[in-house]
Amino acid sequence: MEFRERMQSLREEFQRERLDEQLRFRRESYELSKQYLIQQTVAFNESRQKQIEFNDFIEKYWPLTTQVYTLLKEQEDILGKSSIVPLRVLIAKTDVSSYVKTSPISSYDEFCENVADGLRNLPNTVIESRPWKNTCQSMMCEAIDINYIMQGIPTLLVFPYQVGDTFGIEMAAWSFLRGFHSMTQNKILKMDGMKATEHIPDVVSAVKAVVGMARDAYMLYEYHSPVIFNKLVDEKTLELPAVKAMLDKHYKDLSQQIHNPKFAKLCTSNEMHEIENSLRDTKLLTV
Amino acid sequence: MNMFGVDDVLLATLAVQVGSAAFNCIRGNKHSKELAAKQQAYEEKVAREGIQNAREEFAALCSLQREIEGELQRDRIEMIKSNHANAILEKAYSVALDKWPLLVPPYVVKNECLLNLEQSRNEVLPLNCIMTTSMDSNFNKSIFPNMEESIAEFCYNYWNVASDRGIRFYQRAWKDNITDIGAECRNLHALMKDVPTLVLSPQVRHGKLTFRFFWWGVSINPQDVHIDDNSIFDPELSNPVYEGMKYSDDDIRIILSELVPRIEAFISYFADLYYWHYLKMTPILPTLLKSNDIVQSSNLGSLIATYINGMLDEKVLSSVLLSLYGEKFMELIKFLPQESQREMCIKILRRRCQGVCNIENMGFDDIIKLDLFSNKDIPFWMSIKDIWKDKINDIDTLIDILQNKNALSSNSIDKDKKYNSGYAIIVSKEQNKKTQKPKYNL
Repeated sequence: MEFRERMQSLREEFQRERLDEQLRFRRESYELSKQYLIQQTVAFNESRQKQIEFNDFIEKYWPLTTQVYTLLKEQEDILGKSSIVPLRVLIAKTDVSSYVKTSPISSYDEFCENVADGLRNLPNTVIESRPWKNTCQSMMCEAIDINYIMQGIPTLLVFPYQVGDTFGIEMAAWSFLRGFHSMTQNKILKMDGMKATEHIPDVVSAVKAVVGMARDAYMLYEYHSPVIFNKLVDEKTLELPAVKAMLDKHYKDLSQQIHNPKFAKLCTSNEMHEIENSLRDTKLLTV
Repeated sequence: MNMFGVDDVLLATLAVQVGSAAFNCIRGNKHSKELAAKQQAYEEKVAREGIQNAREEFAALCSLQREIEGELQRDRIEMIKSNHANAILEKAYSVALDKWPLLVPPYVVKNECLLNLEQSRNEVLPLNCIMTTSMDSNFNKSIFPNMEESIAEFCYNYWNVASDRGIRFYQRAWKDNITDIGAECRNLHALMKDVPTLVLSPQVRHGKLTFRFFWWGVSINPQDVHIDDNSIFDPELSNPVYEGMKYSDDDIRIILSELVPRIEAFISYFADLYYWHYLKMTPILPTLLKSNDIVQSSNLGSLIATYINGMLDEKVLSSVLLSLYGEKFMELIKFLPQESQREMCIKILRRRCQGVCNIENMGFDDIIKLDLFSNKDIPFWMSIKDIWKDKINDIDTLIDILQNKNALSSNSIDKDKKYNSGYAIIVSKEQNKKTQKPKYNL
């Protein structure tokens, strides 16, 4: 009898425990599901916000003819690509590059084609025809907008512009990196007292020079390739003193920077040898 | 008779035996009935208790379920309310984006991830500097574009975003030539709260050109927002500038030559402040001032001293001072005149020994004799040798002693500060690493 009573009380104790546990578990499940739901809602709202932003961006800020979708897909392909990724060159439609003098056809098209014509023998670059939809207003802002989508695709943006009596070229460039530090923006060339629209061929030469040197910097840093534009540059371009000074300075900087231990460590001795030779064999000032 | 007698005994014995068996039988029967009854009662009790328990259990579960259902319902209602608030805000947000005044939208300024929601980037944002046109169309036509162009160039050259510290100067960034910054500034702030920003808005009034300015996000304190201050920066141009003034070429040249460097210095000051607060980077404006001849040399020294003293004022935390130990400290105070350099060193030394003994009135000679320093302080003493050239022997002696001191027998301050100063060394190393050229140094 006593034994059975003991058993019974054991059973009862277990039952009480089970009940408590059941209640606790149900309460916990409820709390958990509540938390999950909140998390889900937060993520959902965040996603909604991003969608609103993206709609806004695509509709109002995207300045290029190439669709954002196209670029996002291309970006995926680049990740798996084993061959050299060429530097994409986009020349902005500005008052200088789209200046219409006599010809009724878009001179922006002419301008891009002329730059491309002069650089047919420069490998690893793709110069796009008429990439901009409308005239570019703020070089600064549009570069950031384009970088937002295209970061990770090696790109060079060239903005020929006129402020008062000064002609200048602003550039923005980036490679495979992402984030703020990935993009370099600069006013690379300034020619005081020059009305660009009266000297379009010179402007074309200057733009070609910028593309050439950017290409060399890109290929040098990303693929340890020898530079070539310092030999390819035509005499007419070198007749423009400001452009020549810009090129001289650029290749001088490159010759110094290749000896930076960080870079030198990444190159094989053969590569370094070729790079050094290519920098010495030049139409520009040698260091 | 005999027979009878025998039989009698036998019978009697038998009878007794039978009787006792019968009695036993009756007694046993009675006992087992009692037992069965008890058992039944017990089982009944158990069953009743079981049922009662089950009832209670069910009731408890039901009551919990009821409670949870109630809470679920409240949650659902809450959710609908919050979704409603969210939908309203969402609409307001899309309209705010729709009316955004700049040519680059705020989420792009922050460079937020595009395809996935995770914010993996924890880079320090550059300082954003936005300049509006003025209400004066002549100023906007003759002065503004050249001014903007020069400042943009300055920022690219000295504060390039691709380097370790940058200013993003938004040249020609306003849609439709917005001129009324007054209220627009709040819109900028609402959508770029977490972006360090300085907004400048030129105005030509009462024969003077001044700049209203607004800023936020420059210090670590999120409350540090200055859009209601009515702050005005006066570049103190030597010639008057009138509303609707017709600017001659000479006017333009003179105004720009005075205005541009001062605005550049003004913007640099904020950038220095920002990078000082976030990364403890020493300011570069003093160097820029010296090399660019921005202000007249007579008051240059005192201006810079005020500037540095402001950075190292009493509000600066001890941990910050410790992170200045060594090279960084020298970088910062080399801009001060010799006497101020000494004062600053004493100030830092006093801070170093704070709470350990009363050193408020002690001079250099007394402090150096204190047995308070450890080998962690060596970089600091090394760095101030140049400032106390006349005490160089005393300092060398102290450094020798510190070098020989067993690192294990460090005193009490040292235990407290160990982590901090170790960290300081890591920080300064990291920062040296960061000082690198942008990849495309075109």
